[in-house]
Amino acid sequence: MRPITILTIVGILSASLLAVVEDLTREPIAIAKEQMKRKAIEQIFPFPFDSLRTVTTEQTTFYEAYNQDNAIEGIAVETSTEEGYSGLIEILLGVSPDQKILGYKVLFHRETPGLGDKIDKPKFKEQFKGRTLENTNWKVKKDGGDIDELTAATISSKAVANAVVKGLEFIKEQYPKSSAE
Amino acid sequence: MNEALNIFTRGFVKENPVTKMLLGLCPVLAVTTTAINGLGMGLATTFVLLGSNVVIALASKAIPSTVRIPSFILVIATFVTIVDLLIQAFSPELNQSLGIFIPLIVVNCMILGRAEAFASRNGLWYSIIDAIGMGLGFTFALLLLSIFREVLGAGTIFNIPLVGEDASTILVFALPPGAFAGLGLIIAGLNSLEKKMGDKK
Amino acid sequence: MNELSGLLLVIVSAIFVNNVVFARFLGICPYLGVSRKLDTALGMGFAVTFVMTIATAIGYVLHYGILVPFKIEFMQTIMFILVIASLVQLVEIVLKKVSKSLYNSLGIFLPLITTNCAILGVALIAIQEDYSFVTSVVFAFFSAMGFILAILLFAGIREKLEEADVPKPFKNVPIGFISAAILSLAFMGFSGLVK
Repeated sequence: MRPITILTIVGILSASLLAVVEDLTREPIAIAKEQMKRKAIEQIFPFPFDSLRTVTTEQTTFYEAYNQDNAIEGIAVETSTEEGYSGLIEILLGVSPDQKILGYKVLFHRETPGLGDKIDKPKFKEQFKGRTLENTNWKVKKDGGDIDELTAATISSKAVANAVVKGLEFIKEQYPKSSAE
Repeated sequence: MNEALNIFTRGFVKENPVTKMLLGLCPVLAVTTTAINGLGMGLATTFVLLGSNVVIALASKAIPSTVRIPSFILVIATFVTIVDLLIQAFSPELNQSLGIFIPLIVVNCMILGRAEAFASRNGLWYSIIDAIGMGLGFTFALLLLSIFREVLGAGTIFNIPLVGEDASTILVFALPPGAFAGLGLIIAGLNSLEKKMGDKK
Repeated sequence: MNELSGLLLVIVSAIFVNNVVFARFLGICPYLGVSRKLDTALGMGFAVTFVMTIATAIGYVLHYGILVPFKIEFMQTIMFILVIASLVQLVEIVLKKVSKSLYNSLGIFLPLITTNCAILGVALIAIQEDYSFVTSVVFAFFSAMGFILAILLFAGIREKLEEADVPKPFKNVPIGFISAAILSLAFMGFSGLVK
């Protein structure tokens, strides 16, 4: 009987120790996650913002960035595609209130290092700035569109364009008014 | 004191857990794409090893041999979970890049091995020294491989670029094959180095 | 139909594209340890398949049945490793009773399996990827198949290496890693197969 008792005691001790540690770290973890989000959003907006409001809908999550006067300066949206060379690509897309692209950041991808992973390099990202749903033919140049594809990574380039279009459509749906301005 | 020094230093070269004993290789190969990851993984493992060695050195006499292994695993898993929570709270970037390999520290055979072979048979003081020596030896090997891979594969060291943005690097070292090849080359290098030093004596 | 093709993707991905050994770096210790001979490699492979599949199934049930409802997901690591450890012990006892010959051939591998990170790793990945129960079990089984494929390939190469004239510093372990690197390079050719 003794071995079982000892094992139980060890189990109870470790479980209670973990409960304490979990309790202590719960808030720091939540804060750290929030800060990671904020850092990512700060990277896609070229301006400093004062406060952030999160809008969660069924499809995705929107982040509204406000300046000191409480006017909206930018909207960020999480969007994704399964069309990458190795499946899922997740990006955070930032647009201005008139729904022009300010920039994006790749949150998750499994594209080939050295080829497809250039979708997260400034050189490729630069071309998206200022584009809107309407002013751009969202195909790659190979297919007669406006998007410069990456050498040897056409699929990854197309996938990013798709994800961006999806994000722009989400924003248009969620903020129909600002588009009419 | 001499004994303590011996226990401390053997983890680095003579009985290095990675290059000599081939223990805990999964994280060694998986997370060594950048020096920061390698260092983070090494230190996290050292922390767990220290915690488990201390507890096991103190408690091993009270634990009957029939439930020894399950108890040891419980102790190790507890420390791993603590490290996991702490990394999540204070270094979310490291958490993201180490990912699943943080919980997998629990099955790092080096830790159970030290608990079995050393901490359960030695006093607290030696067990602490053993944990730090072995842990730092493990970290040292991780750092060696990760610097090798980061410099060749990404052209950076601790994220500081060594070459221009557009320079092409030997990408294969950032990929899985480079992990295997890198470790093979490092062990071969250490082997021949050791042999040369032995010859001189 | 859609579900079926989804499963097929998981299968191909688990065996080839994301092979546990070559792409995920799980189970390296037994990969190097028992791959000297083809038949021991196969024995280890079967033992791993058995424990991996059942551990992932039980882990799935416990995760969604206990950890999530009670909001104690941080106990995941402890829970899973205990499941694996007791499962290994159980398999050992049952095998001893049921089939002496099977026990004799698999028995020596069982204790090694507890610290095989592939088992815990696969169980954790199944949760992380939000797989359904069926997908998780299929994923675990075919990840184990990928593991068997890896150790069999490697065992074959190693038997040849025994006779090869290898430069001294590279003898044994280093040349093993170099061969593993080449194998892993070959497996990279499968990437892009699954979208």
